[in-house]
Amino acid sequence: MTILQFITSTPKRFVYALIGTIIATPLLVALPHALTSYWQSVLVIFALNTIMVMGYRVITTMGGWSFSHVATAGLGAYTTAILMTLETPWSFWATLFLGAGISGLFALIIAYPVLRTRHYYFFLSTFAAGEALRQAYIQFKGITGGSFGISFIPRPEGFWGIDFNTTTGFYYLVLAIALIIWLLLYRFDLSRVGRTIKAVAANEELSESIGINTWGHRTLPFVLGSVIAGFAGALSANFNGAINPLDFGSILMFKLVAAAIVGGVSTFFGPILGLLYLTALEEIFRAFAEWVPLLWGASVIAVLMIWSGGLEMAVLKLLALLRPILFNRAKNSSAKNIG
Amino acid sequence: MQVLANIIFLSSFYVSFAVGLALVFGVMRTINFAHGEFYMLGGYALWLLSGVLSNTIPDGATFIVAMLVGAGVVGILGMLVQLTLFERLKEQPFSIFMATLGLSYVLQVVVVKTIGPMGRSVPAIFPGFIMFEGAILPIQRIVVLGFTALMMAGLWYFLMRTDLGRAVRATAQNKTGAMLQGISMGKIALTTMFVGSALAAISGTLMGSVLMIGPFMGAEALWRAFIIIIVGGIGSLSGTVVAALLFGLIDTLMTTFGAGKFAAMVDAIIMLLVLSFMPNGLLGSRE
Repeated sequence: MTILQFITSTPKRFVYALIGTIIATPLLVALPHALTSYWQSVLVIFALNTIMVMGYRVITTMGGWSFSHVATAGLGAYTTAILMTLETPWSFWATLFLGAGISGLFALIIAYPVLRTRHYYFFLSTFAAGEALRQAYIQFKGITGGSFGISFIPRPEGFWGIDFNTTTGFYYLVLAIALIIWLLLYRFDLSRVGRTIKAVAANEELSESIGINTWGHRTLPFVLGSVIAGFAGALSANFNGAINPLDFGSILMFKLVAAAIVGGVSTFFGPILGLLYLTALEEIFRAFAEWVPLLWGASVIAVLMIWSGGLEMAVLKLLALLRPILFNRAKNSSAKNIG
Repeated sequence: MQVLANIIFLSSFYVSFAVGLALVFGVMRTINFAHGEFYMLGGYALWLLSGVLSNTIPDGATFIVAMLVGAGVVGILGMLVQLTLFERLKEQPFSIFMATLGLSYVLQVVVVKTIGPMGRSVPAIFPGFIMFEGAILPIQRIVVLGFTALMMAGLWYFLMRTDLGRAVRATAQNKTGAMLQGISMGKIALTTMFVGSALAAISGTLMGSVLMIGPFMGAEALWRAFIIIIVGGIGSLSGTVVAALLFGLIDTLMTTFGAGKFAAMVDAIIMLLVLSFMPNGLLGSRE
C-alpha cells in the first residue's frame, strides 16, 4: 500500500477525529496555565495514564485482559532510568524508543505461552508473568537498585524554548506523544488489521476457518499495547525523577483494569472516560487516600452488576438522542453510525 | 532431612491455600479473586480470638475455635458473595472474576481501616521443637501440617463419600447432566462457595499461627496459587496437589541452595514453559 492509497482510503471517522484533535489541541495546550502547580502534576500523571490505557485498550481488542501491562511498562521505565543515569548518559530519545522496544520484546516472548490461554485464564497467566517481572526489579539489585529503585533520573533537554524541567514543559512533551499515539492508534483501530483483530476476538474458530492468521492477530495487539506501555513507563521515569518496584505494582494495574471496566472498551474513548472518573474520585477523596481502592473496587462491582457497558454506553446513548436534534436527521438512520 | 521437612511444610501450605481456589473454579468455572482476602480473614480470626480468649481457655483450644469460627464466618461471606455477585452475573464468568477483583480491594481497605495496616503476629501456641534425625521440627509446624492433612481428609470425605459432595463433583464434571439428575444448581453453588471459602479461612488460620498476619498477606500468596492451579490444570484438584508438591520442592531447594530470592521468577518461568507445551496444565482436561 502506498502512502497515497493510505491517505485516500482514510475512513471518514478518522478525518473527523483529526479535525477534532486539531481543534482541541490549543485548549489542551492552554489548560496547564489555568491550573495550580498541584493540578498541573495531576494533569501530567493523567496524561501518562491515558497513554497507558490507550495501550491497554489495544490489548483488550483481541479479547484478553492482560494483568502484566504495568510491569511491562516498568521495562520502559527501567531502561530509561538505567541508561540516563550512566556516567555517560544516553540521549532521552534513544532510551525512550529502546525502552518501548524492550517492553514490546518482552510481550513478544511471553506471547507464545500466555496467548495459548483465554479469558480469565489469560488474566491469571499474565498476572503471574507480570509479578515475576516485578520480582526481577526487586531482586536484580545490581542493575535495578532493588527495592530502593533508581533516583536522580534527568529530564530531557528542552527545545523550541520549552523547558522540560518545568511541569508545564514536561506536560507538553507528554501531550505531544499522547496525541501522536492517539491518532496512530485510532487509525489502526479503524484499519483492516484493527477490524480483523476484533473479528478474531469475536470468533476465533470462524476467523481461522476463513484463512485469517489468528495467532498473528492476537500477538500484534498484545505487543503493540505493550510498546505503548513502554513509552508511558519511560516518560513516567523522567517525570518522577525516581522509580522503584512499587510504582509498577498491582494498584496501578487495578486502576487501568478498573478504568477499562468503568469506561467500557468497545469504543476508543471508553477507558479514557473511566480513567477520568477514577482520577476524579481519587482527587475528591484525596484526604482519605486509604479509602480510594475501596471506592474503585465498589465502582467496578457496581458497573458490572447494575450498569453493564459502563460510561461509554451512557455517552453513546446521549449522542444517539442528540444526533437527530443536531443534524435534523431521522433517528433510526443515524443510530447505526454511532460507535 | 531438614530439607525434606521444609519441602513438606511448604507444600502443605501451597496445597491448603490453592485447593479451595481450584474447587471453586472446578464447579463455578470462574476464579474467585477474593480468595486471598478470605485467607487473610482466616488469619485475623486467629489474631482476634487469641486476644479475646487468652487466659480463658487453653491456647490449643483457641486455635481450634479460631479455625471453626473463621471457617464459619468466611464460609457465610462466601455464600453471600455467591448470592449477590455470582448469582447476578451468572453465565458471565469474566465479569464475576472482575467483580471479585474489586471485592478483594474492598476487603483489604476494610481491614486496613478497622484493624490497621501493620502486620500482626500471634505468640506461638505450641512452642518448642523436636529433633528428629538431625532436623529441627517446630511443634507448631507439625500441628499445622497435621491440621492440613485433616482438612484435606475432610475434603476428600466430603467429595467422595457424601451425597452432597458427589453432587458437587457431578456438577464439576457435567453441569447439564447434573441438572438432569435433579441436582439443584443454586444449592451446589452455595455449598461450593461455602466449602471453598472455609478452606481459604482455615488455611489462613493455620498459616497465621506461623507467619505474620497482615491485610496484604492474601494478595501476596494469591499469585503463587495462580501459578499452582495453572500448572496443575485449572479445576483439577489432584493436579493442584501435584503442582503444590512440585513448587514446594522447587522453592525449598532454591532456598536451600541460596537462590531463594529467584524462586518467584523460576516458578513463573516454569508456568510459562508448562503453558507453552501443555496449555491445559499437568493434569487438566481440555475445556
